[in-house]
Amino acid sequence: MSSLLHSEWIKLRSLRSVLWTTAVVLVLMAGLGALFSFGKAHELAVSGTAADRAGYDPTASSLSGMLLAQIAVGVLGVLVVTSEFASGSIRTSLAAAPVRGRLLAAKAVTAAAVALVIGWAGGLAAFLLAQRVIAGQGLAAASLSSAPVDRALLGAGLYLAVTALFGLAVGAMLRSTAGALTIVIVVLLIAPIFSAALPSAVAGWIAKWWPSMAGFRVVTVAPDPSVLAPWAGFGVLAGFGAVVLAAAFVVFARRDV
Amino acid sequence: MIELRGLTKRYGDTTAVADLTCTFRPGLVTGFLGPNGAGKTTTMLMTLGLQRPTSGSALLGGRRYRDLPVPMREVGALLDARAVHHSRSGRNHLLALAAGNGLPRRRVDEVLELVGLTAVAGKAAGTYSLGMSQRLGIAGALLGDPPILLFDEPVNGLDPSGIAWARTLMRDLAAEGRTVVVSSHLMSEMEQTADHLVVIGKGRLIADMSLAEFLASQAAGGVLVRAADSGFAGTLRGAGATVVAQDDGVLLVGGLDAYAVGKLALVSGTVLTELSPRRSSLEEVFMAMTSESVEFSGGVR
Repeated sequence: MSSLLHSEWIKLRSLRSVLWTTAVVLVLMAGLGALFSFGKAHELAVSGTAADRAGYDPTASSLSGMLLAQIAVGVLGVLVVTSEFASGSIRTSLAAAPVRGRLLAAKAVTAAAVALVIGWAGGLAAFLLAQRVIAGQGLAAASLSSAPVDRALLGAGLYLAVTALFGLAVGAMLRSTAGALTIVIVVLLIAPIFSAALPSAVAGWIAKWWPSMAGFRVVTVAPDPSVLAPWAGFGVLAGFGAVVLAAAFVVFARRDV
Repeated sequence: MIELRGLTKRYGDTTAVADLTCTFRPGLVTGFLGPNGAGKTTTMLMTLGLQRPTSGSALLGGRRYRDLPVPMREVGALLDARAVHHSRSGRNHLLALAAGNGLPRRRVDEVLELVGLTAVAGKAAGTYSLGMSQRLGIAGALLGDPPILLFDEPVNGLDPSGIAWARTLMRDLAAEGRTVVVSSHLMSEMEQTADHLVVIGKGRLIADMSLAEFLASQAAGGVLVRAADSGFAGTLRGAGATVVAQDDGVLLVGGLDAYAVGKLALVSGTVLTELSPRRSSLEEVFMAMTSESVEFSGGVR
């Protein structure tokens, strides 16, 4: 298994597109986090009420770039599998690793590990940069010495790792890049956006239970009784990811080529 | 040694491979031939555990592919030379393969040298010509120094010197005692490379015999004769031969061999300007056999 992990790691790091994407995601996480935080903090500083300022979550605000990072990481998960089907190299890979589940497991571990590191490194950079911006607007910034903040930063990596695994699972089931990307983007981004246009009862249910929205609770610090607690929300996302991944393993192991 | 035992693959109503039983032996280059759609690639995929047989089995050195502990040390395969991620370099492609089977890094440099790709190993595989891709695929098959090698159309896209190189390589690998299976649609190539032929048509075994036997089995035979004296045809008929005059004045003679024709010319005092046995090419034999592949219905000839 360790040799397969090594093999998958070589495959991943030998693609310039992966290196570039990773670098761009890190920069965007930090940059967007700082930008969104500046916008919101400035607005609150200029026209916010005391209650608005008290309800402001500087940690979640600094991690706004996660919205974009989750797509990049989901795409990475998809491509780890579908690029091999597209080029046909999946045959060579499976001939070298005939116990099919092991190959998929090695891909899953590699993709999740990369996403974890992106989430931790990007999240920390975004947090540190954004808190300076927020403090610069005269608002109360968050500090690393707070346990909920540390949990949120830990959660940023975990959230992206699950996102990568979700992409990988969908890619393994569909085998086609276009189809898998569509599903990943719809589930992660489009569905939450469109829920705003739905009747409030449905929208409320989606805000609470939709996997990506529930999972996002883990990077927030300010309590919100209308939705799940941070770890409970992440549990919903992780459970969803586990079910999809298990289905992918079953399908991948049974199929020809 | 590869043993196929009643190997069968059906997709719904379509039978891609039907009850294929044959053995690919070590020390020989075995040509695996058949027209397009005959089931060659499906057979190879089942042998490599990439497709599940509907029934029957393929054993490599007595074991199923998926039971091989380190597959690349046992079997090397070139399936589709273009099946490489286009933006990954040739060296990284091989490094990933080697790492997956715990093979040493230096083995990558060795096979790159062996196939003559050292100079371009750092370039993206998508920039390679088809011939270079074939060499990369062959390098991948040789990584684990395996006793069994399967090559699907390995000379496709190679230039003449590349074809000569590949031919020598296949022969050398077999001479080292390895089992070498080469599928090809280039019959002429097989004639110069293979010791043994396994021919399939519509998924069924048509022939499993040495190259010499194969050629003899369907020899169109006959002797081509060009005589200065136009009356020689009559002389040949008189001796019991069948004679067909070709357009260019050459006589296609059946029933007598070249020696008998030459002797007859000597006795009758006729000058022969051409006397050659007509040997059917592998191509002709192959076409003759596979065009009737339905009627052979699995019978081994």
